[in-house]
Amino acid sequence: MAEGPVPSQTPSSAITALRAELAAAIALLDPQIRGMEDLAQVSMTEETLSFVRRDFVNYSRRKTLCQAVVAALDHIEADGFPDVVRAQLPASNFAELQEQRADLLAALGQFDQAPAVKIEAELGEPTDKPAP
Amino acid sequence: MAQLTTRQCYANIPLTFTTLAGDPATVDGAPVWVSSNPAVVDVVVSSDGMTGTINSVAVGVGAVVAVTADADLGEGVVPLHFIFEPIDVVLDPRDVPMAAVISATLPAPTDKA
Repeated sequence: MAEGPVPSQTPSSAITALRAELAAAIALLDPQIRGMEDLAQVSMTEETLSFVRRDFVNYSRRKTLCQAVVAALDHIEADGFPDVVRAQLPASNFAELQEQRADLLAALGQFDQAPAVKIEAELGEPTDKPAP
Repeated sequence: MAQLTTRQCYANIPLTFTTLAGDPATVDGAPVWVSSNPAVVDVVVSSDGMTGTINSVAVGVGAVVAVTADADLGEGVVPLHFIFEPIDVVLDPRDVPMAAVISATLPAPTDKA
């Protein structure tokens, strides 16, 4: 019976670095978003308020995207990335694959690649040499 | 007979290999390009040997560029040759020395004073 993925035991350094970068970005965004949320409650003109709301939306979207990437990294590492695990099979299944391999090699051994017997080339039109 | 001027080249000439049936073929390793007279034309070849540029070097006649490839796809060597038509190199008109021309015409003779 096939087994499920095994979480990676050797995390990718690139993923670790990206996680750190995303965590730093989220840490920076959190107080900004909270501040804008508070700022939107203060009495101000509708025009000024519209700018605050716009940035609140933009910063919130950025945070959501960062969190989505973190979640995706969680999934890919839970799947075992970047490890490539060699599968271990019961003897009978392994023997079956070996037989298939032997058959394929036997068939492939009946073919030879046709060799080249001719070279073709044309000088074409002369052009100016590139400037030195 | 092909001709280049001293400022010209045949650029990026691709090689094509075919089987007896006319199908595309591959060769072993990088084909080797050689100029019979590097003082007249030289060759600059791509890293895989599949494309070459023939540059003029100086005025001369009958330089031949030959290409050799190994058609044996295994351990052995089966050389396959191709020879381009001979190339003459002539002085580029832009390099012909400019002649300064002085013209003068004698006036009609007159009595001396």
